[in-house]
Parts: sequence; C-alpha cells; structure tokens
Amino acid sequence: MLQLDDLSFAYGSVKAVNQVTLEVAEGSIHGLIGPNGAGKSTCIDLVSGRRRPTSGTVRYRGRHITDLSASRRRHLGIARSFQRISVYPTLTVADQLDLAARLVGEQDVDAIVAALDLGQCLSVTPAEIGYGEQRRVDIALALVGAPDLVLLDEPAAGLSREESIALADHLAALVRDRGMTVVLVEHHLEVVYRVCDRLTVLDHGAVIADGVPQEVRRDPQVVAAYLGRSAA
Amino acid sequence: MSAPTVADTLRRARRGARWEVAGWVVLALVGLGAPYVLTLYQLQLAQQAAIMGILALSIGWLLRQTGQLSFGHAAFYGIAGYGTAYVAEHASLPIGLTLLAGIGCGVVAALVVGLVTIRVPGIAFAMLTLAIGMLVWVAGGQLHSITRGADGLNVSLEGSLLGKDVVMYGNPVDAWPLVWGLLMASVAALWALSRTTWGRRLASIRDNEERVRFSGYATYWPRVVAFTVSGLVASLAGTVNLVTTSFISLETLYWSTGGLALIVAVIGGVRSVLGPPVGAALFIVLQNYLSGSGAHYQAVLGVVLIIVVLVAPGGLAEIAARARTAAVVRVRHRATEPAPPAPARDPLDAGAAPSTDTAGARRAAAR
Amino acid sequence: MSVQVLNGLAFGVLLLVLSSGLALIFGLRGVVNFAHGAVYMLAAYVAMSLSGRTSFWVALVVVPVVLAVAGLLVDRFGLRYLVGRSPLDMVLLTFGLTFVIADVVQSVWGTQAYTIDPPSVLAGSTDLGFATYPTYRLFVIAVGLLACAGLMTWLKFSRTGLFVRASSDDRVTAGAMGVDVDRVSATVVALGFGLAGLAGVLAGPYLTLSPAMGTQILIITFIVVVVGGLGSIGGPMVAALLIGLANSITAVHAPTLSAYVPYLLMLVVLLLRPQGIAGRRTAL
Repeated sequence: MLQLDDLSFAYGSVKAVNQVTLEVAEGSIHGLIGPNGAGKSTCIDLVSGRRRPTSGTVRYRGRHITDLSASRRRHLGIARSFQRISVYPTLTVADQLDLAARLVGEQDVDAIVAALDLGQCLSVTPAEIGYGEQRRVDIALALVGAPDLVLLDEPAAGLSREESIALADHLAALVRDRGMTVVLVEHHLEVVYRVCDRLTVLDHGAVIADGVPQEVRRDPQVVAAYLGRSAA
Repeated sequence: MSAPTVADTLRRARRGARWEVAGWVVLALVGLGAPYVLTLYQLQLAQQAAIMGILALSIGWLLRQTGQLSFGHAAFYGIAGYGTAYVAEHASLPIGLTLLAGIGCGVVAALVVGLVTIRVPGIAFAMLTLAIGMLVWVAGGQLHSITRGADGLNVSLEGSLLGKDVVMYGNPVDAWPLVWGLLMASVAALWALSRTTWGRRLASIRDNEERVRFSGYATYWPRVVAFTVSGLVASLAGTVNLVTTSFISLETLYWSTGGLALIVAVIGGVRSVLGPPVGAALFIVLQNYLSGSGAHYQAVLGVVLIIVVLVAPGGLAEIAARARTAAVVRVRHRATEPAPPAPARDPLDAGAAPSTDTAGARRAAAR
Repeated sequence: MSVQVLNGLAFGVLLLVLSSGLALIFGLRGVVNFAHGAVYMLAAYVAMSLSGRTSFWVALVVVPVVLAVAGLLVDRFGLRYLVGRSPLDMVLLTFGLTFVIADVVQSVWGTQAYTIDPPSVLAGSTDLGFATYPTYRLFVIAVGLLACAGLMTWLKFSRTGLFVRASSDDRVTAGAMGVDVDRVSATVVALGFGLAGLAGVLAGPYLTLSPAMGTQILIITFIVVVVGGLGSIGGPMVAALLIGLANSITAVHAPTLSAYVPYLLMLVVLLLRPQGIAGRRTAL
C-alpha cells in the first residue's frame, strides 16, 4: 500500500534518512524502530508531507505522492499523529474534533470519542486535561474520517509502561477493527513486539533489518545497534 | 444519562449567543438616539470614535481570529480614502459606485499585501506589514499630483446617498445613523463570521497552523481571505472618513494611524468584537480631555497600553468579563443555589461568546 | 564613485550598530524591539542638548550608558513578566514605549527639524588620496565598526557572550544548563538599548533630527534584520552594509527609486528565501 523507494533526506550535510526502501502491506501494523536519531520521525515526516525528500519517491496505492501537500495527502487517506503533542491550545476538545471531522466527512465522531475515552473532556481546552488525554486528542485528530493509512509517531511517548501497553492494545484493536493500515514509530520495544506484524529497523538513516518481529529481534545487527548505543 | 456527544457540547457552548444578539440589537437601537442626547460637539467626537472604532475593529478582529498583528492597516484605510477621492474627481460615476470603487481600491491593496505576506510567521509578519505601510506612505508622498501630500486634498462629492445629498453627511447629526449603522453592522458581521465553521477554522489555524494542514485543510487561502476581509473593514472606515470630512491628507497613510487603532483595539480587548470600538471611544474621550488640559495623550496612551499588556492582556473586555463573573458569583452565592460545576472558560472567548458558566450563572441570576 | 561607496558605508555602519542591537534582543527574548527607533531618536536629541552644555565627547559616552540602564529597567520591569506569553505581547509593550518616547521628544524639543555641527576636531574634510571625504563620516564608520568588532569579540570569547549564543540557540536548554537566562537577557537588552543610543549619538551630526527619524530608521533596520535573517547576528551585519550601499548608490543614480530600494530588496529576499540570508527557519 505504501512504498518508499531510495528515499533520502539531509539536514545540511547530515543524512537523516539514507536511501530507505520499504513497503508497508495493506492492513498491517508496521513498526519503525531504531535508536535515537535513526531517522524514524523523519521518515514519517516524508510520508506525511511535512518534509520533502532530497531524493527518492513515496508511492501510495501505486500513486506518486512525493510532491503532494500535507493537506492533499490527508484527503487521499494518509493521517498522522505527532511525537510532540500537536493539538489546538485554545479550542475545546469538542471544537477541534468537530472541525477535523467536517474536513474529512466523518459522520460519527462520537465513536472515536468513545473509543479513545474522551467524553469527559469535550467541553474543555487541552490546557485543562492531563498529558495522557492530550495524547489521545492528538491521536483522535488523526483517526477521524477513518484514514486508510495512519502514521503514529511515538503515540506512547511520555506515558508509563502500563499506560503505553494499554494504549497500544487499544489502538491495535481500534485500527484492526476499522481495517486501517498503521506505521508505528515507537521506543518501547515491548509495545512494538506486542502489536506489530512487521518491523523495519533504522540506524543512521538506513534500513538495517526488515522482517517479522521474531526474526528482527534476533538479528545480530539490530542487537548491536541497540546495545552499542546504550553502552556508549 | 448518555455520554456527552460532540454536537451536544458545541450546542451548549453556543447557547449564550442569544443573549448577546439581543443585547446588541438594543445597543444598536439606543445608539441611534445619540443625536437627541449629545451636543453637536460631543456627537462630532462620537463620530470620530465610531470611525476609529471600525478601523480598530478590523485590526483587532484579524489579531483575534488569525493571531496576526498588522501595523500596516493605515495603508488600506488611506488607499480607500484616496481611491474614493480620485474616482470622485476623475470619473463621473454615481456616488454609490464611487464609494464602492474607493473601498474596492483598499480591498485590492489588502488582497495583494495578503498574498505576499501571509506565509510570513509571527513577528516577522508584524515587521513586514509596518514596512509595507511605510512603503505606501512614501509612495503617497511621491505621488504628489494625486495626494497633494501633507497639504491634503479637499474632496467634493456629489450625488444623493441613502436619500440625502452626500454633502449633508458633513454634519454629524445627518451622518450619525450611517456611521453608527456601519459600525454596528461591521461588529455584527465579524462576530457572525467568527462563529461560522470558517471562522472557527481560522481560529484553529491561529492555534496550530501545521496541524490544520495535516487535518486536510490548505491554510494559505483562508488566511489571505481573512486578511482581505479585515482590509475591507479598514477600507470601509477610510471611505466613511472621507465622506464625513471631505478631506484627506498624507497623515492618513502614516503608520501611526494604524498604530493608534491597534493600540486602542488592544486596550479595548480584541477577544471581544466590541472591545476595539470601546477602546476607540475611550481614546477619543481621553484625547479630548487631555488636549484640553495641555497634557500628553500619546504618552498616556503608551503607558496605558503597557499597563494593559502587563496586567490585563485581554484589555477592558477581559476586565469587564471578570467583573461580571465576580458579580454573578456573588448573586449566586446570595441565592444559595447549589452551584453547578463550572466548566473553565475558553480564554479566547471570554468576551465574545460567554461560555457555559457565565450564561448558566446569568440564568441563575435571572430567577 | 568611491564617495558613494563611503556614503553607503557610513549609513550601513549606522544600520549595523542598530541592527546588531535589535538582533541581540530578538535572540535572547524572542522579541523584536519596536522601540528601537524611538530609543535611537531619543539618544540623538539628548546628545544634542548635552553636547550644547558640555561636549560631544561627554554625550558620546554618557548617553549610551544611560540608555543601557534604561534598557535594564525595561527588561527587569517589563519584558521579564511577559516570558511565556505570546511574543506579540512583548511587541505591544515596546510599541507602547515608542509612543511614550515620541511624546517626550515632541514636547521637549518640538516638531521642527534640527541639524547639528560635528565637534570642531571632526569638522571639515579629510583627503584620503583617492577622494576628499567629510571627517565626521569617517569617524562614524570607525566608531561603528569598532563597536561591532567589540561586540563580536565579546560574543565569541567572553563567558557571558558564550551564554548569549547558547541561549539564543536554545533558551530552554541554556536554562537547564545553569545559565541564568534572566540575567543574560537583562545584559543583552541593556546592550541593545546602549547600541541604539550610540547610533543615535553618532547620527546627530550626520543626519537630520526630526520626530520622524525614529520610525524611518526603525523600518530600515527591520528590513535589514528580515533580509539578514531573524535570529542571526552575522546575517544582518552583511545586510546592513548591503542596504547602506544600495541606498547611497541609488540616491545618486535613481533618486526617485531610492526610497523604494530597501523595500524591494526585502520583498525579493522574502519571496526567494523567506528565512533571510542567514536566518534559521523557525516559527516565531
């Protein structure tokens, strides 16, 4: 459903993403993992249209979308959440969900509210709710309109281990239920192994492993990348 | 009780609007009676305040709805004025079309400026609008044959506007219904616009432009349109100013015209559409009072602005809203009614849209 | 031609001094000081009166120092309270200050324009071999360049300077690293005001004093900073000299156009490279 071909992105002379080629299968939850600075978030940025690649292409359902604007991509069915929570600080939660829903023709925004348990904070602004709830608002903004492909950029960042696992299970059930495809960038490996069907491991911007979680887990290169970094 | 839905929550938040609309209809009608109460001189001042109020409203609404601080609105105000004067002099159009053409000049200018500047973020936008405003002023000085520079231009409009000879509008008593009506119409129109989906969409762009794009909405054109709408209101003020004074000079284009309007808008409070006109009225009163005693209204105004920014960033509108809430709490307390759980107020809507707690409290107070 | 280059250099150096102050304050407090032009104007007028009673040299030292102290107060009792609020609030605060200063200048010195003579040592012209050039303008160039060189050295080598660069890059991190951001900010705002004061004193015998001088120079300084890149200190320095030169050259060859040149330059830069010559692309 999503294909990245030879995708590269450089910040000045630093190659954040280096000739990444990967394919995301329809209906899967595809994990994108790797040490800090491996280029995971930049990949999400390239797919969602936040950044333009220096070279390479992004194809979605066979169509080249490399140069489309972010808003066009959303209408094609590619939605994303943000690592640093990105909501509307002075609008009530109801307001922001309503505005987002109108854009993509979501008929049943209350189903998402219920699924993410946001019913209690509809009438207040993000400043008045907890961190975990703000996260869920951010995710809800990505899920309205049932996009075909959801890019989740560390949805569990800042949450405790238990909260992360709970959120991940919940999200996995939700997206499977609706037949969405997910690219998940996540730090907690436990979460990743739990919900992902397939994993791609990045290090220094390049793919070092790709496969089903059980294989990737034992890959010596992956182990080295993680251990080498944490030992340093 | 079923779980709260998005639609319910929105409906509840909007309920306060009825009171507001009623209040405005009353205010608009009462305002029309001003000529029967005020002296001619006072009415003259009121007229100045209303025109400045329209200009302040245009700047304040832009700031409120899009978060953009424009120091260059004097350009649209002035271009509309000069445009009207130019058309009146060089084309023999009916007066209505002449005025529309003049306003059109200002709107086109706003559109052009908006197209170029709208992508520039935050403070750089403020700097850019100031620079463009000054550019227009410089150009105005060089086009001496059209503008007559600092000496100014006496304009004689001809024709019949709304059943009166247009010359009659030089008299505040005759002009008042027009000026006041335009002010209230602008206030109402911008208020209504803010509450449409498009207006709320603008507010969401102000809050987080990037997220809006990732929600599937291209943010460039809406902001250009918002800037142009604001320019339209400023142009309206410029043309009305010309109609009522039959005079325009280069000072109209100078940055301080827009700067003053911005200051009074902030002092009045941009979070409410009524804030800027109230600020303008206060300014005119202050200026009149202080210039009588030989003191310095500019310095006083500057100091008031500094104090407002430091102490009450929502301006008079916020102070009024706080006072109202405090009074309501006291009344409610006296009625010993069990206080309903008060949802916190939306900080940006304090004045314009009384949120559920003040509206609920007002109902409580009415019992 | 060489005279035009020197003229451009003199004006450019004045812009250089002003824009470095503006860029410094922006880097630290994230605020564009809309009172910068007014401070410059106030300095020029005060220096005029002070030179009349004592001497130009006293004014050259005293006025910038006094304004630096004023800057300290503005930071301590104004800007500091607005940290964490919208940067537009800080803009409004400095805008209010502009009105206060403009009123003071108009009521003390009136609205007429003044031209003042340079001190006798610097009166007349100097023969440079290739051209004869007014001595006072050479003095402006020299003092301005010296001030900027001093500023650069300070930023590069002193401990505080290092802090300034650290906090300009990342306020939060600098704070977390134990930099007293408030103190550094106070220093920088004081320095910015002081530099605006220096520019004002220098401008007195060089340009004409009038109540409009503040806004006029403010606009051009803004253009310099926008063209050079908000958030950079080196970029505006280049842009200042560029605009100074463009200004003096068009003043001779295309006088009607010369008023527009800075604006056109700005538009071109913004359309081609919105972050300016050396600016970082940041949401302000």
